Amino acid sequence: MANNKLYKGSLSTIILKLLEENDRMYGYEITQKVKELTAGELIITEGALYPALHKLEGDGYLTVEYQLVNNRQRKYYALTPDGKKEKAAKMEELERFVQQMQFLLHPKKSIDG
Amino acid sequence: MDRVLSADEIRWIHDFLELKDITYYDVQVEIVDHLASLIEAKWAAGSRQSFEVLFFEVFKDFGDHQWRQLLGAKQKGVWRQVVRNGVSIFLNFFTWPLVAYTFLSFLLIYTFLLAVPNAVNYLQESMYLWGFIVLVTWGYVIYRRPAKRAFLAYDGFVTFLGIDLYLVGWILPDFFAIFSERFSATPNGMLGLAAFYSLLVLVILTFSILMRIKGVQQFYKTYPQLLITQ
Repeated sequence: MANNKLYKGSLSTIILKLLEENDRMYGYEITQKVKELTAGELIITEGALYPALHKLEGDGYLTVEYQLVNNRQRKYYALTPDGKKEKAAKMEELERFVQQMQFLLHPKKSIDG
Repeated sequence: MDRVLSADEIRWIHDFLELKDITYYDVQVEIVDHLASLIEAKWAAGSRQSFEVLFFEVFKDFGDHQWRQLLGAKQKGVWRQVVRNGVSIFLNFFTWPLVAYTFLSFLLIYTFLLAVPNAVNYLQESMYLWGFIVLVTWGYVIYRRPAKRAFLAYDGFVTFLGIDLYLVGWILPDFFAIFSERFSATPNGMLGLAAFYSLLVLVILTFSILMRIKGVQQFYKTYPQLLITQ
């Protein structure tokens, strides 16, 4: 992942947000979607993506289903009701963090509005 | 239409992962799909290289250690699910019918201990019965195990550290023997023994047996599609 230290803590939030917008997605599709949305600026590696997906699945935030596609089984992830709540909480947390960073990095600009 | 991997090529990747010690089918499926998607993306982008060349290219890009990391992450994920299920079963245990069941068992056992001579010995021998019930549950787990391939999720959902075998095979009988020898002579000791039996033996063993049966059910509910094509 590019700029990995900065993005690493937000990976779960990115995944939850994408799944909310796309109903269900599979691993490779998530990596490509992130690449596309950030114009190639952010690359999520498999070594970062799958552990995050499995953790979210283990915590009950994601549900999975398999489908036969092009001669192989594909594992699709979707949000559970708990996942939707978690996504809202994580988004709020991330937005607050970004806002605080704005205050810290550009104090004058932030106060002036 | 862009070229996609054939069924034989997909099988070849599964076999390759087996050789790399990624033996669980549910873990393989996700890796196979990812590698296949990477290869197909290269073909779609105009590559004219063969499957074999592209496969080793994408596999090398990722590196062995990352696949192992993936396996470890999947193990942790399954474990989290198992613990979550366990907590939920355990909390459901404290609904009033089950609390009543435990309390009634306690009263029955206490009455039994006071009324029947050598009742303590019977209770101690009942451990064999519990051992038998636990073994039957394990038999059910082994019987229901998917036939062809190993599934990490199955092992995770049903094993739960084999805690019940450990309990009936060693801890509870020993603990019961020590406890009964020391306290069974007094009325308070009988009370303690009845509480010990109803709480530790009935509740814990019923819990672990339920946990295992629910684990099998959950596995078959979550992975029906994989079981058809394994």
